[in-house]
Amino acid sequence: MTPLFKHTSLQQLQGNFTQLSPQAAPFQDDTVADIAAFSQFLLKKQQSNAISALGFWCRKANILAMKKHYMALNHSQPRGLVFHITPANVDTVYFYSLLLSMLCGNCNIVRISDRSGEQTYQLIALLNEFLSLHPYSVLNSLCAIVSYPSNAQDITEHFSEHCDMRIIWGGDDAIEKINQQANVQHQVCFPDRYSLAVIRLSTNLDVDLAVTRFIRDFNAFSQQACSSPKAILWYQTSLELQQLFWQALRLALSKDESQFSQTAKANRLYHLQQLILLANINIQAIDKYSEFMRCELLTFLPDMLLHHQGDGLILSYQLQRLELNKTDKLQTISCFGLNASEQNQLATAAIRTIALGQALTFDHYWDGVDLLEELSC
Amino acid sequence: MHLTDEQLLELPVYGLANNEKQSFLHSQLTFLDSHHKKHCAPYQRLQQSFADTMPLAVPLFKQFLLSSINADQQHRLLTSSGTSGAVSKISLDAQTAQLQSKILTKTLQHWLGKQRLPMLIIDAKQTIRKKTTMSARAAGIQGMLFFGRDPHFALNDDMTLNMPVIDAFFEKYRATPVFMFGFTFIVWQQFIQALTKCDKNMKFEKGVLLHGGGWKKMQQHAVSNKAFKQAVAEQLGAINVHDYYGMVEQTGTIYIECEHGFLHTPAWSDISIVDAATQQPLPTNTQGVIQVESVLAKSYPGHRLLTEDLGTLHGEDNCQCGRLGKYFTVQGRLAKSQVRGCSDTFI
Repeated sequence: MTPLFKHTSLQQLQGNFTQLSPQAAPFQDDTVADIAAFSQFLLKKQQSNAISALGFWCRKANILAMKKHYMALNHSQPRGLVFHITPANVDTVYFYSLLLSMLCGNCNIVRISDRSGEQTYQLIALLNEFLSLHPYSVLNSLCAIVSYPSNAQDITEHFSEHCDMRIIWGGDDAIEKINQQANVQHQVCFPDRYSLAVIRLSTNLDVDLAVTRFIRDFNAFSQQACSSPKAILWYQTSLELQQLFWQALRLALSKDESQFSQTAKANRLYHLQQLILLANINIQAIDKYSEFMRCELLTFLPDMLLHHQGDGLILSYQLQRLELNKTDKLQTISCFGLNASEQNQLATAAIRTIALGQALTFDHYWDGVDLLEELSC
Repeated sequence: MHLTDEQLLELPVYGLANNEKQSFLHSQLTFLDSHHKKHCAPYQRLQQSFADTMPLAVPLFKQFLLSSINADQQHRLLTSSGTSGAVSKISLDAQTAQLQSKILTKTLQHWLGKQRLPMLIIDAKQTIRKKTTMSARAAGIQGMLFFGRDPHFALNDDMTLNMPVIDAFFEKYRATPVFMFGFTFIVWQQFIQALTKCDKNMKFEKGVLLHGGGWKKMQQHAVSNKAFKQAVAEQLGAINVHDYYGMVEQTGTIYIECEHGFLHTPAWSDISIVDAATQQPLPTNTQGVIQVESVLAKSYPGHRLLTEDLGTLHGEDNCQCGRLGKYFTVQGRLAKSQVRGCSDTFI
């Protein structure tokens, strides 16, 4: 069983790690088989979109594709013990790096934030259920999941001291704080990033497809994932079509139970006011709906998104040319209605450009880092 | 017509009916809209793109010092107590501080009478000793001291019962009207429950217990308002219990619970219950986010605020208690909002 400890003292935590076995060989057959079985288990459960997406991602075919990529790296060794520090805002992301790390043969300690969302705990419950059906699974011997308050610095120090590699899922402040507390020689950090969408609608027929795809990127995790678009930049799109898009978006979002909590909805005004004061945005118009808040801007710089905190606030801007100020914080540009050469023009502005609707699709090559390469040697 | 501070003070606390109140508030608040735009640059930035004035989100005051006075006019900087480090900063000049304190006096006298009553503070003396920047809890106590006389602090510095003081207070004032004040959770856990535990009850013959600071911890401990009142009656006798609601961003304004269990808006302030996403007013008896207005926020742009609290409006001008104005109840804070407020500092 993967325990979820809730202790504040280091001693109590330590005793529970006896189950962790030494590392396994990379992409060992039983690891691949066990993770593929877990994939099927998750897909059958259909607990939530995010959890099903995870299940789909770790299906056998994808694991084998990653194995091929791994073989080409000419690496042969796991790192050893990997300590993962996960974010509070994106509930399932830690599991991707955990699974990649297990595939590489590492042993893992995962610290989940004590501010984590519901899906984090659902996922742990599912893992425990899976392990009770498959007690000898490598998933049991290759990972332990822990939770402790962020002020329990000694626990972070302890794990950092004993691990061979650390992964910190941001943001900038957390990374800085953890680095001050305990330095680790080999680590991968995912700092604060922001993302946006560039959309061109040519006819009425584009509207519904664009809306469906946009929702995929926008709706999950209260729009707080670093790859969720915070702004839509309209390119060569008539205001009428934009109007149809906003209407269709409202309609589509209102059909499902809202992804945005009442707190998130109330926060939009606060976030908007923060943006006015911190990012100096100039607003032309604003529409407040239960489903989202739209804010039309007179000027736009990618840097403005640094202070954007999600929760269903969509900035909108009319982009005249396919050019964006270069910044290393812009992660994903989701594109709709652009041809390959147009998409290429944008490519230099961001870490990745991708089709709208794919922004949250996880890849072992994430945020400019090949995790398979980092997790092995 | 715009009223001077003296004229504001003339208004009856709970005596303005809807028509009169709305036209008075409208003129005062519109004046404050342009006053703050003129004197507070960030406020001007916030409002410049909008035809209608937007209420400011309360957490903004934690992040920015929003002030409409020069630094040398600052008489006092109020801060909210917060465990997480981020605290609201409210800048008051002498005139605003004086007006707020006079209005508070007038409001409280409505409930306590003009006579200053012997006072039992359900807290430790230590709490108000830090002088430079005042926490809201300290400011609350400090402010209340003015409304009582012969103050006794019921708790030791470690927040345990100070029995000699409590006994002395009881001996001296059991038969005369008394005034007790404290933060809800502290009153409950450190006073009422502690007295129950040591099997101590003191039946006062007459008095008022005013308490506030939120029900969050009380809800966690599954204590209802009714159970709270019942326990107070058992321990302390004929004490009228009044909850209150207020925030450091609106010092001077206090919403006090009447005999029928509703919080009342005094003349100088109004509330509306709005939809979280659109800030459109919701119908009576529907829970929503509390938006507040106050004509007392003169040195800082806090005259229209969107709070992080949930409440329900129950009516206007027709509460059974006879007081005019809107009456409402508070259901707590929006889930997972940053921890804010008074009694949250302790434990």
